[in-house]
Amino acid sequence: MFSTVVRALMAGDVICAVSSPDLFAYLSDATNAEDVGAYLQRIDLKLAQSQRGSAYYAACLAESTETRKVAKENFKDVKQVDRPLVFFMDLLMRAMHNDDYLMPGSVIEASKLMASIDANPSFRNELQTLAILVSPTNDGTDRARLAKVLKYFVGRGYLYLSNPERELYQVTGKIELFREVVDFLLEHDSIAQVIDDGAPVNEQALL
Amino acid sequence: MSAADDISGYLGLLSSNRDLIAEAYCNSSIQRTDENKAAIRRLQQARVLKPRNHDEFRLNTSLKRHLDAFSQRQRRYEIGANYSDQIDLLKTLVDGFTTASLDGRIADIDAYETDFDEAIDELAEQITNDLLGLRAVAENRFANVRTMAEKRRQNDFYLARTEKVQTIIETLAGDAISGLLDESPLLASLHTSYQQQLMGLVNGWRSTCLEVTAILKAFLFSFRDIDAAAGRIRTFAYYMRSNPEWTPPDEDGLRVLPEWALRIPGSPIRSLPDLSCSRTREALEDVALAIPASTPISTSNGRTAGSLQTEGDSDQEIHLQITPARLAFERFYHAAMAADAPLSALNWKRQHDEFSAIEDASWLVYLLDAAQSKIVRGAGRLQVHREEAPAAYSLTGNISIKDVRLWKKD
Repeated sequence: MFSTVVRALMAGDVICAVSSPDLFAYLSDATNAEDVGAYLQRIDLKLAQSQRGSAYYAACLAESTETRKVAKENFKDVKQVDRPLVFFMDLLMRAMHNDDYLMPGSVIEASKLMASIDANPSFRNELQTLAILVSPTNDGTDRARLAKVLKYFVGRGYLYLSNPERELYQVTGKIELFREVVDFLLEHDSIAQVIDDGAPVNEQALL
Repeated sequence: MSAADDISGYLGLLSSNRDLIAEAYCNSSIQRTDENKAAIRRLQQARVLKPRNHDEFRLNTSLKRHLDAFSQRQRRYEIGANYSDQIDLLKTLVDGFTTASLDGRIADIDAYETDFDEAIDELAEQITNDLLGLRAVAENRFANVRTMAEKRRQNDFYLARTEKVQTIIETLAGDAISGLLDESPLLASLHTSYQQQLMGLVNGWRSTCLEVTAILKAFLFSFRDIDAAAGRIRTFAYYMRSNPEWTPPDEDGLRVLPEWALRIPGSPIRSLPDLSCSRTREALEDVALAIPASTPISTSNGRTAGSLQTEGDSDQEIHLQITPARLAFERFYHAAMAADAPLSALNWKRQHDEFSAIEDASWLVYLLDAAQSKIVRGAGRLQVHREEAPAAYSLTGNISIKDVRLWKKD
């Protein structure tokens, strides 16, 4: 199990109880986590955990020579993935009238989500915009668009297809990293404050 | 018939009807049919089954609980044992033991002692099992529950349950029973039993309780945190829709990088076999031998025995494509064989315009190779002479050739 866990971490995987329950259970044992951490430390890495504890991943040591390069990659990823993910989570929570989808392990039923989106023209428009953000190809039906969006987030490790026949997806522990990114960006650009102040956000520069 | 015989007979009855019992447990009930009605009657008489509807029967609760514990099946909002009743029972048994001791009723003293011993054992087992169950549901975060709303309800329920078990543990560790047992030297044997069977486990229980409570409270906190997180996502979505040109900051401007930004992108590790290791080679041999042999592709090879050759086959003409270099060599070979003096390959080629497409260098290389091989019958009878140019970089070991001359061996 040690070897499998280390290989997964080195491959950049985020280990959580949804997508890899065995590996997560192994790392949940403090002795095993220490063992893996000691191994990673020898190659200038460390075993990191999301702030809420649902995900493990390998990270650079802060003083490593690779740190800035790795950070650049992650910020690039933020630019590419986080915009569609923010829109998707917002759409999902509003369409299903439920905020619990930000919790790892939450189940998304594609058919129910499709039905909710189908019943609201505004949601349909948002889905179309989201599908174009994810991949600018014409997909024909809303069903195909939703399938493409869900597949995109499965590919990026935020969703896990737990039942292909019933099209049941589960939110993985990686969502906690996404929440950390959003918290960071909101704080860094003082976005929450800008909106709370009630000023039109696109006129800030003029003010 | 002794009590042991009764128990043995009862277990025999369970054993002989094990399939029916298993079906009743797994499907929650069993239907009476012509085939099983005699067996169901016997099980009902032994109070293993109880009627639900006219032809439907269920397992009795105690057996169902026993099977739940065996199969580690979790039921929603499992309430566990009623501890306060059991603590009251212990107090009653202590009281009865004291009275029997004062009255000198030896048989009753023994009976009370045995009952007290078993009651403690049962209580300790129930607390241990309850904590194991609580720990399981906490650690798997109510994995058998689908919706978050239900998880939230169960989290609240089990948190309250854990706190209740913790209170019971503190009651047992406190003076409620110990104080009673300390009151009289007559109760020394009960006190020893209590200390050995229950007090020795208290520290372990406390630690498990704290762990379970910590997990459940963390889970509870994450539920409460969700509303705020959802608000932040909505704010961010709204901001990005209002500012489509907005881009995240670059990492260059940050002195302290957030933890998530340090996650390595990673690359999959691929293993290659170490062929210097004999065990690896043997393993590879085994793999190779396990690959089924491929079926050779059948090709028609001439006329099959006993069949006539068709006319089309005999008339078929095959045109071989000869490369220009090969054609040039053959002609140059014949020219060289006919010549009286050594014949320069480059001069000969320049005299034949049809071979002008062949580069000089390629022509010389081909010629040397062809003259040394048996590409043309009789090539072995040729004498080959290379005209070498002075080596520009002698240390490289390269040989520069200006021309090749061929003539017939004497």
